[in-house]
Amino acid sequence: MGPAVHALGLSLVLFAIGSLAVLLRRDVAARLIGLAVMGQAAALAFAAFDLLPGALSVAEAAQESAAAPQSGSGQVFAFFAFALLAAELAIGWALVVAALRRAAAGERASMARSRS
Amino acid sequence: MSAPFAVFDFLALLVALGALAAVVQRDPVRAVLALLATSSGLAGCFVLLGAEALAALQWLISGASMSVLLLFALLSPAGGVAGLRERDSARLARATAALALLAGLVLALFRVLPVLPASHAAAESAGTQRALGSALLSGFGLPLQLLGLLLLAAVLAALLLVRERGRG
Repeated sequence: MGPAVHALGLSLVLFAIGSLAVLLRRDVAARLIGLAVMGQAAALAFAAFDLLPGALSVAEAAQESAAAPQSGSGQVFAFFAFALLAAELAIGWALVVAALRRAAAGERASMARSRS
Repeated sequence: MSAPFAVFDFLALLVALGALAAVVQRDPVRAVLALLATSSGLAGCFVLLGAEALAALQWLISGASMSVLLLFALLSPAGGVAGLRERDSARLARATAALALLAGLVLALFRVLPVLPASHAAAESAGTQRALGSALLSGFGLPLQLLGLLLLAAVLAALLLVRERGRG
């Protein structure tokens, strides 16, 4: 078996770890880290599929251009996966900051109420 | 087993252990450091797969995001991030869903692996920055522009979310 199969196995393991973290952990930070791991697993799978000789692409396209498979398109999709992951993490951590700020404000308000 | 496979498997082990440590750790700083080890090992895997451009991207993105995460973990008050827990008590349903997902993935792996053809060597320069850039600009121009718009929207939304009310 070639390197693509090893990479796909690693991608599966990473995706399983990330999805288990997202589904089972209760911390928001751990869930975001799990999402990051899942995104990296997806990018690795795209790069690994790029190594396969067109076996998992559309059958007609493979028949028409078996000699020149679309080498590199998997890496383009991995690039897109990285960019989407960055956007998703930016929003996620901004939500965490906003929630922390809101919790701190609520705590301050309850302390002020208890003093008065 | 040839040397590249052995190196790849060693890196894969490092990546898997790092990811596991990252999601299991309760200390945010240690979790981020474990995620950094995961990203570094993954960049090595990309190099071994012939995707040098992706390895560089992985380093750039993970380096930038991990440093921000590390700063956030260091600056957040004790128990701040870890204290943000959801109040859902249906953990049994989630555990069942997680186990079903894991079983499905393992079954899919054992169904797919035997039918995969032997990999061919990546074409020369297929993973370089030049090849990736030309592929992006020639065949994926519109998705690239849309991605730029999406990233701009994400940055603006993040700024709006973290903006303090009343200070403009």
